[in-house]
Formats: sequence, C-alpha cells, structure tokens
Amino acid sequence: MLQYQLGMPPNNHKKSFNPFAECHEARLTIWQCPPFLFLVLGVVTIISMIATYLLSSSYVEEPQVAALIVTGVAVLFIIVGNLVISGFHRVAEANHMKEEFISLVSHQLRSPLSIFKWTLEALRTDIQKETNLLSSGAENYFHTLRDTNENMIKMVNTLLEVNRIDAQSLLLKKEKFSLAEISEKTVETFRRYADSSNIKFISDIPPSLPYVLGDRDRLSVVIENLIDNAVRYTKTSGNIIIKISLENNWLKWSIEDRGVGIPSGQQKYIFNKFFRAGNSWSGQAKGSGLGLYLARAVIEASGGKIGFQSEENKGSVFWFTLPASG
Amino acid sequence: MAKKILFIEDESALQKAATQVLSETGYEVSSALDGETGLRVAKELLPDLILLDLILPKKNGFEVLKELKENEQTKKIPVIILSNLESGGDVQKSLELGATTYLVKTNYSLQDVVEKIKGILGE
Repeated sequence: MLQYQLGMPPNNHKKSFNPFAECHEARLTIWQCPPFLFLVLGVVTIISMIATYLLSSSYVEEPQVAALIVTGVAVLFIIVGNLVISGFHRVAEANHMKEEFISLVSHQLRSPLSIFKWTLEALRTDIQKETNLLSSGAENYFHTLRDTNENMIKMVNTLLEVNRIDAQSLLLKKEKFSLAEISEKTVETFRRYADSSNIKFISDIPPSLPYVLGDRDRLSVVIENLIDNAVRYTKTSGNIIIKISLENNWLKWSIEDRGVGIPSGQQKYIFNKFFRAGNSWSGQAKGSGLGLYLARAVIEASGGKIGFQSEENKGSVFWFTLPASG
Repeated sequence: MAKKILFIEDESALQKAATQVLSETGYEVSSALDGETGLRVAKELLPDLILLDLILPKKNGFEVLKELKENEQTKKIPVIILSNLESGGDVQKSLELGATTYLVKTNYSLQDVVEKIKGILGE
C-alpha cells in the first residue's frame, strides 16, 4: 500500500532554457543529444569547408571550381547531419510518448480496478449481513475474484513503477522499519499457496536486528517479488530458506531455493527488463519479467546492492543489502 | 451522535460502495458527484471529515481543497485525498494545500479507508 506524508523531494524545479538538461531528463547520452549533435555538425561542417578549400586551392586553379567543391561538401554534411539528428530526435520523442502512453493507460486501468475492488468488498459485506455466513463455495468465488483483481492491480502498479524508473522519477520515502517484520509478513501471504505445493519456508532471522532506513512499501514489493520467484520456480516440494544477517553495519536479506536455477549463459540478463530465463517453462510459470528489474532499481536507489548465485537444476540464492539504521 | 463524512467522487459505483461500508461502520455519509457541489455541501454540512477525489468535473480536487482550506469554516476539516493518480507532484501538491493524507484508491480496501478515518478522527 502506498501512503505519502510531507517531506518528499520537490518535483517541480524551475525550468530554464538548457537543451543539454532536457537531453539528460530524456536519458539521452551526450552523443544522442540533438542540440549537442547540432553543434558538432556545425564545427565539422566549418572544418570540412576549410579543409576542402585548402585542398581544392592546392589542386584546382580555378577559384570558382574550388568554391563549388567547398559548397558541395558543406551541403552534403548538412543534409547527412540533419538526417542523423532528426533520427535521434524521433527516437527521443517516441520514448517520451511511450512513457506517457503507459502512464495514461495504467491510470485509466486503475479506475475500473478500484471500482471492482470496492464494489466486491461492499457486496461481500452486504451478503454477509443478509446470510450471516458465506457458504464455502461463495467464499471461494470471492477469493478468486479478489485475488484476480489484486493481481491486475499489482501488474498495473508494476508497469507504473517501471515507467517511473525509466523516467528517473522514482521517489523513495525514508522511514525506519524492521526488515524482519516485513519479510515475515510477506512470507505469510505466500503460506497458503506454498502449503498446497508442499513448499516449506525456513526462517533464519536473529531476534534483535537493527532497523533499516528506506521505503517500506517498495521494499515489501522487492521481498514479495523475490519470494514469488523462489516459490514459482520450485517445481515440486522443497524448502525455501530466508535469512537476514548483520554484516559490518549492513543488513543482508537472502532467499535460497532448490528450484530450476538459471542457465549460466543467461545469468547476465537476469535483471534486464522483461527477461525470463529460457528454462522458466514459460507455459507454466506466470510472470512479467519485471520483478527483478524493479528490485534492482529499488535496492540501488535505497543505497544497497543486489545479487545472486545460481546453478541450473540445483537452485538459486538471491540477496540484497541495505544500510542498517540503528 | 454519528460523525459526518462527505465523499466527493464522480464515480457513482465507488460512492455507493463506500457509502454502504461507511454507513454500516456508523458514519453518516453524504456525497457529491462534482467539485462545485462538493464544495457547496461541505460549507453547508460542515462534515467531520472529507474524502476527496482529484479528477472531478466542474472543479478539480486541487481547487476544491484550496477553497476548503481558505474558508474559515471549513479549513480545519481533515481531508483525505482518494485518487488513482500517484505522481510525486500530485501528492506533494495535495499535502502542501493542506490534505491530511493521500491514498491511492486501488491500493486500499474500504476497510483500510475506514481504519484511516478512525485514526484521523481519533476513534
């Protein structure tokens, strides 16, 4: 759940004419930045005109012919340069439009999802008031509808979050909280599914750990994604070990599974957006391929590190660290 | 005496669902479908708490919030923003204009909203 309090960094800084800052905001490197390329093009054109003039005056006696060659070369540079610059400009514009589109669609999707969520809750209250107790069949239908809606909400929230990461507008709250507490709370939400799949959670969490400073809700989502992956890719029964340890004023959270593991050739792509390992039996395991991308962005923005060790058909250990906060 | 809650929201399905759950919790709920009506009802009714959406016809949530906080009679009424917008700018602006808290509708159940209301009203 997301709730905000005062004290978030301001988003509306003063706008001034600075084309390079605009490129920075659009996450274009200096060599992709149209205003910079325009300057480079100007300099290259001037140098080429001078060089062509010097060369042509050495080899051509007629000054009119030399001038014609210089003009021809300059025109060629300007045409090619403008084509390159407008290409970059279109890419930057398309990128911006894509972000706007995702944001708009996600917000539009949220409206019916919230109507569904609240109406379902009101309906449940209403039926319960009439009949006092829901039949187990009705209870199951409500669970299915609620879980389906919550999954859709999570998907939309993830898309919006990824969009914020891409737009470099992810704002993290700073609050002190217990990593152990949110870890255990999140494990509980998986308990029912894990039990039905004969998966057992083993916790190795010392009793009095220091707090961490960060965005509690977003770090809950990171833990949820990592637990979700461990459960999802544990094919049959097995143990999942969740550990928290204190190492040199850093808290290290880790999750170990005996699942399908990640093929070594694909490990370098694992934190990429939309990446799903080839052995993740895509027909069976659901997932957007955004969870680890999101996890890395949140952990790194919180000042921590994230990593993993994995062996195909043996399992994986995913971990992250966060600075302890007393 | 039951505490009065005003819900300013243009989506009638959300209004009905929230009204039902809040009424059953023991609140007296009034509602408005647009910003202008919401503002008028708030001044007449002087509710104990206002739930306010941001995207509203006639007057948007920011305008309503600004006018509520500028009015001597309504400026002390706690306002919970209930919106599906979530950008840092929208949140920041709402809190600066005097909203008590900002909740994203999809991420909160009605029961969560009831808990928030109880917390703010000190119940």
